[in-house]
Amino acid sequence: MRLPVSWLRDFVATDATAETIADVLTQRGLAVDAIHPQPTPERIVVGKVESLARHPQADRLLVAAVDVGGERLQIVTGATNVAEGNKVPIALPGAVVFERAASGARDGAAARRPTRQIAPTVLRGVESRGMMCSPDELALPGDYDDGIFIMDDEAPVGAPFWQAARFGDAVLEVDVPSNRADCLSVIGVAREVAAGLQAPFSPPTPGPGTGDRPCPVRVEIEDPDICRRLLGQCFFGLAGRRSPTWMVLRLAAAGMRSLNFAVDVSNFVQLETGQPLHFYDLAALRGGAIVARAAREGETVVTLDGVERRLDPGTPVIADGAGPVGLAGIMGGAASGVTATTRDIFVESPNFVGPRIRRASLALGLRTEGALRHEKDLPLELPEVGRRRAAQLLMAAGAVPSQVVDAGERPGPQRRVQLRARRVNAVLGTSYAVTQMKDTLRALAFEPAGEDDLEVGVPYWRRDVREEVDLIEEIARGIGYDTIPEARIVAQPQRIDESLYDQESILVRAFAALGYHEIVSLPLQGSKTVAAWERSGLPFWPSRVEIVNPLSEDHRFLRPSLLPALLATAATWYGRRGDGVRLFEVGHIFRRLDDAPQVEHRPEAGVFADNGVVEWPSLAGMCVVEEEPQNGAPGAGGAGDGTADGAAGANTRSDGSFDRRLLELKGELESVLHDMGLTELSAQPRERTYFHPGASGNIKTASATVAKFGRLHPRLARAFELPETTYAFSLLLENIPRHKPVKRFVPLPRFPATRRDIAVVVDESLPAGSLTDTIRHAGIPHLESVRAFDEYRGPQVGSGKKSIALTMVLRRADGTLTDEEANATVRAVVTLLQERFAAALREAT
Amino acid sequence: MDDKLAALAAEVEARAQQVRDERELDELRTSVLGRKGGRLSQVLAGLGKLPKEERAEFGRRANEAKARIEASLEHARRRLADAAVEQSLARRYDVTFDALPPHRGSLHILRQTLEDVASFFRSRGFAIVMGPEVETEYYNFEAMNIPADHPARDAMDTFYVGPRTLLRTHTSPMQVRSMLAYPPPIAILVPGKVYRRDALDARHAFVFHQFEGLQVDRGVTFAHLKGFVTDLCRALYGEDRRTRFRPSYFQFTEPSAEVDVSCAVCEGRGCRTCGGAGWLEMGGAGMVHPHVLRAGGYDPETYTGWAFGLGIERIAMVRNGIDDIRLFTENDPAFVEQFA
Repeated sequence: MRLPVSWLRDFVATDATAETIADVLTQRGLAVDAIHPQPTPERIVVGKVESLARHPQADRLLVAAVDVGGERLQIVTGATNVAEGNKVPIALPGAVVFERAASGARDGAAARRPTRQIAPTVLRGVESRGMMCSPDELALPGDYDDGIFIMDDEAPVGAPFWQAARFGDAVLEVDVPSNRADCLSVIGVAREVAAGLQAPFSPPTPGPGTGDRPCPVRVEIEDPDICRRLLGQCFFGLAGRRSPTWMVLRLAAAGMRSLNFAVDVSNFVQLETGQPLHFYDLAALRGGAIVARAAREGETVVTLDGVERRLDPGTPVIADGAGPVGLAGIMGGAASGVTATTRDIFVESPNFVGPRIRRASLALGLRTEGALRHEKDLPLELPEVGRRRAAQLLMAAGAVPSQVVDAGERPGPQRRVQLRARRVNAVLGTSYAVTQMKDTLRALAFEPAGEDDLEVGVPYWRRDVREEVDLIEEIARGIGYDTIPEARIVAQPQRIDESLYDQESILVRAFAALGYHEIVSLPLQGSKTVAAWERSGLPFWPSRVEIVNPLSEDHRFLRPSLLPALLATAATWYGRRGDGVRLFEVGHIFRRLDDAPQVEHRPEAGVFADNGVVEWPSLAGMCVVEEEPQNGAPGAGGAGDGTADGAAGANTRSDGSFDRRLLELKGELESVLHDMGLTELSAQPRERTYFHPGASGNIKTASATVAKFGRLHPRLARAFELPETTYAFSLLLENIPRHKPVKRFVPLPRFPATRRDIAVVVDESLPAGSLTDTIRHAGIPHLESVRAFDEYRGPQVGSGKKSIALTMVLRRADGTLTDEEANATVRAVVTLLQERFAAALREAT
Repeated sequence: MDDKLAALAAEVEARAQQVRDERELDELRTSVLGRKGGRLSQVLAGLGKLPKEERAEFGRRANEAKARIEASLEHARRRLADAAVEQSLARRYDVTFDALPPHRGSLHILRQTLEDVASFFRSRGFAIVMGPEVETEYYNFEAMNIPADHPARDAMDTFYVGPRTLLRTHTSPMQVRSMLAYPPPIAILVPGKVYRRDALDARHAFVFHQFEGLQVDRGVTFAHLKGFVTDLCRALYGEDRRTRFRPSYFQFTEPSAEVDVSCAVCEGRGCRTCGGAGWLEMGGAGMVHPHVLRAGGYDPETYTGWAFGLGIERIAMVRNGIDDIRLFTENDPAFVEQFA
């Protein structure tokens, strides 16, 4: 809310500067976001234009005689909006005013320094001894018609302009919390300022403002769920009134443009008291009554902004005898609006049911000043406060009031709230005295009674204060948060499951240690993500949780997987950095529940299958490696080199099934899973749409899949301009232990191990894992471990066959293994493989 | 025969001194000491022709010669080894070449920031819990004392994914979820993503990371909140930082406060970073509203508590001097590597 300090000073007797007032407000919870200073150039006085004559030498200039109080000045002007009898601000010689701002640059005017010095001059042969000022030249706030600033007729001739206008202090931008409807008014904020400065506070006290004539319009509440109280009154004889200058400037400083006297009064009263008013042209109201009710099927209204609105049934409206004349509490209708020529008006001062106004205002997209106030459920007392102030202003301008009509509820008894003084200190950790608490409450017009157990009368405008804790806050705020001490308390021992966080912490460290960079991407994705993915020709996840009210096309569903963002990021990194990109992300992913009926709701594991949505935490990553060197070249060594603990003798060819990076990735995943206590792991090929169908798999425990990994589908890689050697993985966190297990010590081997390598020729289709699994589970004596580390295909083994190299570690627990024993173990392995897979021994070392 | 032995020994001694590398030394050794065709064996082959009485003496001399040869070879071996060390020592390497970077991974700056926050909370005995991002209106609003049609909902423009189902606008729903799951007392930290239907610019994101602190126990007061937040801000920003509590309004706390920390750049004098205010807004805090305690099944007459919520991006922006919130989720390599 924009708050002119000069307006505040009408009610608070203080010499405090605008900065001090801003500090007080901020310290009391009404944060002042900005202070806009108002410069007040000197030697500007009110002048009355006595006569206007054409300049003898220039068609576009006028020569005015201006009374500036005891002196008549001749002033030459180019203005076209000044008439004889007008009162205008005159810059006397010696005054320094602002340059006329370029159009649209007015906002910056207050920040500029006045630079234009006025001096007696001669314009085309005629002497000029001053200047009539435009709003720009005085850096006045707000928007005006072009030309000279015309003041009201009451302005005292010769008086200093700023004094006559009762204006000239800074404007504060106050951030009013949503519970403080009372502070959406100058009076409400002034009350806080007065309490904070301990300064006298005197709000306006208008009289009843009623007349003898009966009000020609009846008021009626048809729907009490829309309107609680409807207060009305007519005023006669208003046409042609001009708004006082001080009113125009206060409205402008508060951000409202002066339109005509009646409209200005309704805006002024709303800003000052917080009560929204609506003024109707009495002549335009049909049927002698207005009714607060819900719109009926098919009704329309043209609102003040000129828009014809078809009303949903139930929309709160004000109707006259013929139909809706406005949106209740939100915006009036164009047909019954007040103009400068309106003679008689009907004033509506209503109290509406907040949620109804709020819903309609949001649905119509009309967040007007009136709606923002009404939706906060204003007090039933306020319509009378607003009406009286409006009556005072209108009657001061000569309007004649009618009797008042009033329908609906009347204010109830004052709310009383119990307050235990000891509770105040128990919640705040303070040792305030009861008298201090009571004084603080009284400063805001609360009425505390009693000694330790207080009963506090709540002023009607503080509808937000309902229970004890509300009063505790008032006391803390009033005395000042800086008076509350700092204290420390130790948290009690507790047993809370932190394992979701622990698991994440362990895993992110593990992947960072493996050389992966963690990224954080936006979980809201949209058409760009889908389009980038579908350039590959592969389908994007069909099960998506859509946002009902998305901000944009690009953020209209929740990510079904972490992979799309990883791919897009990897593409940038690869383009920028080339080889060696390793990225991962941890975050929730989302699917529709109807597409994932098998998912169990397991909050303790982070899986939420609820409200039509499945949400669970995921960890996914990817890596981009240099294109493999073309194998088959002599000495290239093939992918097997270096992966097999130095085992020699292996040859591979690029058309083989041995993908070094795929197995490195598998090794990374297995090592991480081992750390989490999963040692009995097996991998199986498993096709997925986004992986290369021949290079992807699952890692499983006995009971569940714990990881997916593979080489990216080449079409996807190409769509993201990534090399074919791009790999990706994800962990199914819900199936992975959330703590690192305590490892048990195994006695160190006392006797040396022997290593033997063999190569066996088997059918090309046999997975290496079948060989090793069979060997591992056969219980062969002295065989400690076996690994398949390479393969060879080619003329030496014949078509349809391949050679798989195995390395074995042999050991006796109770002595050094002899050559004969080792040979026997190897023979047992070979025999086993011959029997089970018709394998032929190709080489043994 | 003796002469031959002596001559061989002398020759080997001389040649060993000339040997230039291990290979030549091996050749020399093989040519002299080799079992088949070595020159020593050739000489010794004449042993059989000697008279018996000379054989013992000759054998003794032969052993002497062999020892002398071996000593020469050993001497040469050592000379070569020493020379190799000397040669190695003579080399000079240029340490002024640029370092070759290690292939390390990294944690995102938001996680690094969160971990600093988490270690502070854990040092105070708090437990870390996490919850869903898709929430119900009940936990996000009603349980937090924000009824339907309440204007306070404006402050948190909300994304909906279904009827009464939304993306949480704060981490606060976990207050009530946790209180329902655990009996009092409770002291938790809730980190996570939150969503506001807000346009994206340098200071606003529609997805950001928040953390919620909550402590409920008998006798917990606003003074404890001030102490905790002050200590946290010092831990995050340095011992010289001051904190300021301004009254504010949140439906789910009362009294409520806005927490500011003195600007580290200008020491509170006012600068560009703090917009001239000397203070930086850190987040909202307050005493848990009795309504919220009741929604969590706690008796507000017996238990009181504080809660606060701070933005992790905000902390990182202040601590690390990052001037645009969008950088966090753009994942530009140059950005990520800066904080690796």
